[in-house]
Amino acid sequence: MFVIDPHVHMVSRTTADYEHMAMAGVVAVSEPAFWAGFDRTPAAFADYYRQLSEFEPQRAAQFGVAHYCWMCLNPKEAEDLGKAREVMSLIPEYLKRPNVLGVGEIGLHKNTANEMEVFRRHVQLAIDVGGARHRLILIHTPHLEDKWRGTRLIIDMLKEFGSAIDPSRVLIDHCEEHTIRMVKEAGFWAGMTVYPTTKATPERAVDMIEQYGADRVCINAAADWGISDPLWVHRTMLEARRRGHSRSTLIKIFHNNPAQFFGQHPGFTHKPLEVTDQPQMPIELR
Amino acid sequence: MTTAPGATDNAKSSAPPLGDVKVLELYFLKARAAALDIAAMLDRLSRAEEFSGVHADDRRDRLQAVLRILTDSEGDKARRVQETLSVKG
Repeated sequence: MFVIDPHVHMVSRTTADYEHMAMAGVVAVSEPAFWAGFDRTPAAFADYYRQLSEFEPQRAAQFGVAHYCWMCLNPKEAEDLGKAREVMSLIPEYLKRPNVLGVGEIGLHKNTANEMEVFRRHVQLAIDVGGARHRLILIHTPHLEDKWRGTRLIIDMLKEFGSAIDPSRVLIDHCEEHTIRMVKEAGFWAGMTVYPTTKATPERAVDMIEQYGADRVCINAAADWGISDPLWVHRTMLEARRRGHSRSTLIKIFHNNPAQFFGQHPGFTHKPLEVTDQPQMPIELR
Repeated sequence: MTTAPGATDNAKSSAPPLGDVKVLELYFLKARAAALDIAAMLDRLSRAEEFSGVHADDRRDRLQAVLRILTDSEGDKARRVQETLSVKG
């Protein structure tokens, strides 16, 4: 089974994780810019952006894994508007690189006015550098009690941009039972993050696919420096298999959907796979 | 402190090692996740029953009895849940 991991923070992971992921069928990963666990200086962001776009692809390539990334200032560091302006001035140069898929993971953390201001600036940046079509946008939604309101605010802010924003080029991540409907009904891609305790579990992620459909959804583990594991993606695939979902459905969710969304960027070269579900061979003939 | 029947005198008289705020800090998210798991499982069961038109067996009823224990005002909930889910006799 081939898998594209649509959201993983490999800077926080060991090289052994790349090896494990490759052995488990991961052929490509997408790494959004995020919080390091502490607030950084603008100079540190310059180094971080080089790490994402230059160093991590080399580490991944050792195992035949293609590495793509996203650029932004994450919402947890968005309170200082001056710093945000300075850091964001670095981003356009990186967005020209073929392995940089777009702007992300932007979004909200505590739904503050400054976070919203920086979110709008990032969306405008994606529009300004995109030419005829804005750059792909990957969006983080808040955790826990702030998620519903934050997701609502994000969708409302995106609508402020009118026809300048194409929902099919925006993925709103970390959706759960109370937010996935509003995201999909607004035409955006919905990400589900399997990160037990604070986000979804494999069982609940598969439930949501069964309820809301397998179109325009991506499943990730958002593995980072927390208690997380990139192979939670595979545990979710196992849960879907256990329930009897077909091989073509699994390939759609875990490979082809990310390939379709990311494939809107010309630098992303993994094409959707065609899989035909064969009738099960009787056990005695295997 | 509510103490289980059979607890030692020593356990009855000593203060619990964790204060209430600390208990919430350490275990609220885990309990929240467990509640969501149960809610999602009940939804899953309802969808399946709606499709099949039948109730699978008495395990749903036993789970409902457990949920009543979780929301009542009595203590000693873990023991009572275990007893509710135990084969009697």
